[in-house]
Amino acid sequence: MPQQLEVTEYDVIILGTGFVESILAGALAKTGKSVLHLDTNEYYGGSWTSFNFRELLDWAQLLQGHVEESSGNCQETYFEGKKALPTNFSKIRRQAYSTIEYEIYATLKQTDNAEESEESQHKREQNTSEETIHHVSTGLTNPERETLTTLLKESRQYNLDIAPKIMPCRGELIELLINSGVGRYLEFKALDRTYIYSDQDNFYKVPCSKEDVFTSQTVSLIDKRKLMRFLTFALDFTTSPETFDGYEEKPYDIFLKEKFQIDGKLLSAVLYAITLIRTKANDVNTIQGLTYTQKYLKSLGRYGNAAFLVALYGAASEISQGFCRISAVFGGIYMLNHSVKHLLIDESSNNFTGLIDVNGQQLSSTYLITAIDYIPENLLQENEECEQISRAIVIIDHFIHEEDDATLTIFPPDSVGNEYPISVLQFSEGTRTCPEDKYVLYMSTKASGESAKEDLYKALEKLVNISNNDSSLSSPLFALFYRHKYRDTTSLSSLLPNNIIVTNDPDSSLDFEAATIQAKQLFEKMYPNEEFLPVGPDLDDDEFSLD
Amino acid sequence: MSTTNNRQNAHASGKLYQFKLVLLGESAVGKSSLVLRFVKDQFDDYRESTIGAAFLTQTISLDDNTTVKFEIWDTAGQERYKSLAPMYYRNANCAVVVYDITQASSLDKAKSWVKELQRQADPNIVIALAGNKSDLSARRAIDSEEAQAYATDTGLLFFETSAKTAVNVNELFTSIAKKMPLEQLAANSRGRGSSSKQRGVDLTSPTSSNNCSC
Repeated sequence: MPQQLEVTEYDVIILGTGFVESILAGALAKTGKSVLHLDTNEYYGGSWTSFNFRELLDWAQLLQGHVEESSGNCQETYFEGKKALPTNFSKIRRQAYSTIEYEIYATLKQTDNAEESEESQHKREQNTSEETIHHVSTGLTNPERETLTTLLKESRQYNLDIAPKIMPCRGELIELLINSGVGRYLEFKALDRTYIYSDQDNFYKVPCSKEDVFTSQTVSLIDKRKLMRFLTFALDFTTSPETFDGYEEKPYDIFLKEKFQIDGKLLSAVLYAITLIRTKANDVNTIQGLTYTQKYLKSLGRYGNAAFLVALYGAASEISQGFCRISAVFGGIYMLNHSVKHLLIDESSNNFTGLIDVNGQQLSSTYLITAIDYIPENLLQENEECEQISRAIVIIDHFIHEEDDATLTIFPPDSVGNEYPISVLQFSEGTRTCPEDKYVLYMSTKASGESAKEDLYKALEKLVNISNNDSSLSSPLFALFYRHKYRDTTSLSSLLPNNIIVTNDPDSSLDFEAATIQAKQLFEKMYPNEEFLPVGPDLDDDEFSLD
Repeated sequence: MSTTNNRQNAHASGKLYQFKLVLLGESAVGKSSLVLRFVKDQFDDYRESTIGAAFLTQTISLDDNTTVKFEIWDTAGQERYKSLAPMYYRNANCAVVVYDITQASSLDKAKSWVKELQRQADPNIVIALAGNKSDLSARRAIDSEEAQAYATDTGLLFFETSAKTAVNVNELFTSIAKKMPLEQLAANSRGRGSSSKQRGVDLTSPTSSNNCSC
């Protein structure tokens, strides 16, 4: 039975429960705006969500086009004098992803009781798409099928982020989580360590704090001095502008080499593992670089000796749910699994006036906030220059460096034939990403080659025994490679009405900073006189009031 | 962080156990009213749907040595269109599934929420079924016996409650507290999540004092 809404007019309708949309939903409801928040998906998080193993397989199949989707096959038309532009969520979302490939590996360790697992597998298969399982298991060898069975059996213990990110301890997001109270819904751990790969197949722990520099075994005394001098400067770089005078617009690596004699491995560590540059060194100027380095250094020490936090059970999806809850607590209305047929545009003013939902109900609002996937095709423009990100989610049976809950490993450019730095986050059961005896690797880099797999495979080979030639490495059970676009406002037609506010896709950075800042800026653009998620009265306990 | 579960703290006069309790049930069966009665001993005849409460806490002393603190999560209306977030169920130790004894369909809805809990929540979750609005017995549409039989079959605690007159409200929460496996939690310090909790990070408790940033 279609669920008709009692209220059909809102201040803001929001399409998509991704990270940016959800923060906005919370912020708007908290200032008293009436919010209707819809998502075509039956889950929270949009393209920022996390999946259990089975859902991840379903998703991969969907994006590969193996599963039939009902497409919004509606025509542009007119509705009560307004132009009604059809949305095509499934198609547009699918176009954002490419080069999707997954592999299931035969493992050496077999489950003891195959009989039982087969039975429980059968049970689960009744709940989800038989089609997926059938498609996936076709062509697998018996040992590979055994791996699949194990993964499916433990499916619900996986919380796999499709756009995994970490949080600098003194970043915008952490402040927002504290001030909004959303942080109380979540659980966090510190990122234990950062490693950097260097030629000769070695991984080095990256010294970041003064303490680390002192105790590091891998840094020479001379390098220690250089690093200390630089870190001390970078922490307060704005107070000694003479040091970077004339270098402002010059590449950061030139500045580091010329002013601090930082070169070679040490330079790589500063650029890619401390400053976490996601592109080539010469694409970042000195001011940008120093700003990033400073942010990193300031994050150290707030929560122990870690610069980053990891959210348990998947980051973006949990954070999105938290902000949606804030929105709901302040009256926001939530409907998942609820799609949109048409957006209504008033032709004389070129303003968005409302939408027609899946039930044919007309819902109107002053503003529409939307993820790009919901925008009608003729308001989007093909953007060949659009940045793409290559990612992999790899499930392995053993940790790669040491037994930590969360680590970051960086492959600097050209270290494994890669054009851009490759980052590898390893999460354990302690982060609630996977079952106890498994680990998950999240790999990412800016796309450069033909496919996500091509961009990441050589780095993966250094970490995991993926080509059966080094049995001292961890064994893989599953790997999913995919590439996605980073679509931002440049993907939009100039015809887009002013009162349609568009949120960006997950970017290539390792953190949520840009996305958090976008949420804040969009809010301020819409309601310049309202405060963005002000520190409110404590909602806990004594705030059980109606108004 | 206050969302921590199974926390067993040294308390002035004994042990304090903290649990996350979630409320479920159809809209307008009186979920929030039950909590308001339990936590504040108040009732508002004209309560609109829940606005403005993230979660509430209330403690119950079971005996001189044992205190149970409930962190109570309300649905915030997200149940209305079946859009409750997985986060809501996450680490819930107990649940109160509420129906309205004057609404025939609300017990069926309650049953489907129980199924949802069995699917989404921890298998050891303690569930109580509450037939609310027992003060309106003149308009009763659901027999106590029927609900009691279902609760017994399914292993749920069962009470008919009235948030308005306070009948059975404290009894409901107290019996949940009594049913929580406290001994087991005390014996097993590695309660769900606690192994990593020990090293978990509390956002509001920085540790910067003993650490220098470079």
